[in-house]
Amino acid sequence: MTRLFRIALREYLSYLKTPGFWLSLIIAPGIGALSGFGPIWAERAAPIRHVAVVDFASAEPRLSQILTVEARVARLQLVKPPPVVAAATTPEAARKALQPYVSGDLRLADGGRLDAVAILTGSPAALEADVWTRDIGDGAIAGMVRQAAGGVMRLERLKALGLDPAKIAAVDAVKPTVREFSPKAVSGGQVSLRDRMPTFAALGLAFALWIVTVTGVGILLNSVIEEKSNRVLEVLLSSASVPEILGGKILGVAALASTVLAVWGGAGLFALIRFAPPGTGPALVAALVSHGLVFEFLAYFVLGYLMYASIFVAVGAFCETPREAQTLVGPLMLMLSLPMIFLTQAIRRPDSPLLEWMAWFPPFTPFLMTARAASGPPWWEIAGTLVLMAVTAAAVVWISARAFRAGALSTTKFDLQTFLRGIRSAGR
Amino acid sequence: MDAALSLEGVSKQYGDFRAVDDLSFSVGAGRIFGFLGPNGAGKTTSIRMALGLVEPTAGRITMLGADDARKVRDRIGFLPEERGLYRRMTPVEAVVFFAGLKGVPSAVAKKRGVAMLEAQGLGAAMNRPMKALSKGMAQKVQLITALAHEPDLVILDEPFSGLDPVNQQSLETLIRDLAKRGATVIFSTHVMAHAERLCERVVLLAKGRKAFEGSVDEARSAAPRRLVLEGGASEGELRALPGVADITVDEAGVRTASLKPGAAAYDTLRAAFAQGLELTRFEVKEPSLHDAFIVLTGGA
Repeated sequence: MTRLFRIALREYLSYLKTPGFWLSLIIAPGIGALSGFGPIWAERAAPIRHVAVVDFASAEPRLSQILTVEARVARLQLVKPPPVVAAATTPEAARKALQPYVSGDLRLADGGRLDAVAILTGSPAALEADVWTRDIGDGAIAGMVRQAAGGVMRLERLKALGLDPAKIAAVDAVKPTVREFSPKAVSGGQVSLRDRMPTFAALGLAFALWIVTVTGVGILLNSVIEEKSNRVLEVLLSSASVPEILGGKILGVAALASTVLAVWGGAGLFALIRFAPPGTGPALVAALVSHGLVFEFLAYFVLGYLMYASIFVAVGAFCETPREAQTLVGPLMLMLSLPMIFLTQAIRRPDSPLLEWMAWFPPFTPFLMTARAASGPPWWEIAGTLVLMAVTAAAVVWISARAFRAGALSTTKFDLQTFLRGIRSAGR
Repeated sequence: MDAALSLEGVSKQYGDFRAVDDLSFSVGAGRIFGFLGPNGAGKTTSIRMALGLVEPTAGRITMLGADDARKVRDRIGFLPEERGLYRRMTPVEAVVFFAGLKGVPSAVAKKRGVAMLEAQGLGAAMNRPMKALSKGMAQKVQLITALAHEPDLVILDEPFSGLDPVNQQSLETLIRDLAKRGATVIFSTHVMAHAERLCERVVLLAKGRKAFEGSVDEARSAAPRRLVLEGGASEGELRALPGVADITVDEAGVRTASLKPGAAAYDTLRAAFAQGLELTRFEVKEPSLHDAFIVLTGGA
């Protein structure tokens, strides 16, 4: 076994043996699922909100009919207003009567609480609605009342124009049929889920690439700092060459990251087979292969990871504590985060000139080009960015190797002058 | 005898600071060689250059017949001055890993590691993580990791620092055993007693320059021999004796005469008795390596 592989194996096993690795392996997909499904579960688990309508505008029962349709989706239930509120003869009296109910001091006859009350005034053609709600942060009920009131007003005004309500209802029931076509569709015409799959896959891969890069470089940085502070680096340097040490460490952590990706990918595939509509899995696999996404992803992953990993290893060689590293790593992490801001845009508008230019900047290339890959950018753009990435990665690795050698044996804190002198004098 | 290590006109410059200046010496194969000098003399930089860890600004280095130590790194065992191992590794794992980097198959390295650890009294600790070991135990483990691949050349940078007297003694024995099996041992130290007991030849470094190269006896001869004289003779009478270069008086009033180079203590004593000086006790003191160190380094 060569030195490089021994170093890689040690790096891989040292993290694989830690409980933290296994915890994060399990917890991370859990957090992902929670962030995706959590809000839905929270909404479903929330109690049904009770809403009452007090009508001083003769808008009922039409408003409640429309509101009932909306309410089904938003887990609302229309209830009759408490008798004391229903008996009020003016909106002001109704407002005073409903106050203790909405504030929670009084309950409905069945023991339930009243979450909101809409007081309708004006006329059906010119409705005004005051919505009193228990939850000041929830604008959903007011929105639904606005929608329903608008529906009532529209109907009244159309009737005033002499239209038959039955015909209005028939016209409202009309729904257009819209089909989406694209010459890029697999069928050559109509766009299907399979055609959209590359976009989802590209976005997923770009995110995966970013997560793996950020996690990987973090592990590498800590590993080198630990070796530097434990005085292991000098022994390593006397036992193996700088390329072997750098290569071994980067490869070991890449294997670790690949393990994580494989586990997450496997879990995702299982979820896809188990829960997604039939045909989704094969469509995803087809998207990954037929658009060459997986190959582009691999190429950008290797080059991007190599570039960032080399930089972080070199930085780590100058630091004995994570605190020392923080000041150096901050700007790098900022640079790593920038492409994420544009990732969604890179999926929606891959032809945006700004994104096209940004994709040529090597630190952004792996993420933005992976995200844009689904739109099928010109071959010369892919080839050009890959060549530029390869040249940049080679230059970064070369500089980092020299910096690593200089930093590994230095006893002083990092400063730019020492760093540059180290690069110049590290020599072999 | 072939040289295991040879430096010719080697210098190292860091900005305006010259850490090592025109250093030349050679170490014969199979010898125990002392690389001596005060702190900051350039010993560690010279060792790092010899190992190929730092590129010299000028000069030529040959190690085990190779013009670059990295070509023969599998034949070299190195214990750095600042020691440390992976904290979560056990001693056995550490030996297997580092010996593996030197080309020893894992099974062989494990077998050797276990035997060496047991021989050093670390049998009970060999499967405990390094972070649970005492500093002395960890230091022994690191030494074993440097030797488990049975190197032809062993370079130990300040190996005695941090060790208690018992472990210092045991390390001296280990160094002698290495030489007995034919390995060349180079160690740096600023404690002369170890070098005096172990080394056949030494190089003395001061302020980055070579101050001396030769055998321990040759080094000692560079320092003046001294004559301890007690009795009623005055300092002036003693200073006037033939061969006396200087007189020092300690707190107890004991006078010590430093003799001029080449002067014989016998001639000085004979003159003292001939002049009828009152002497109640005399003692000829041969210079130690420590004395030579002070003289040769100019007290650096």
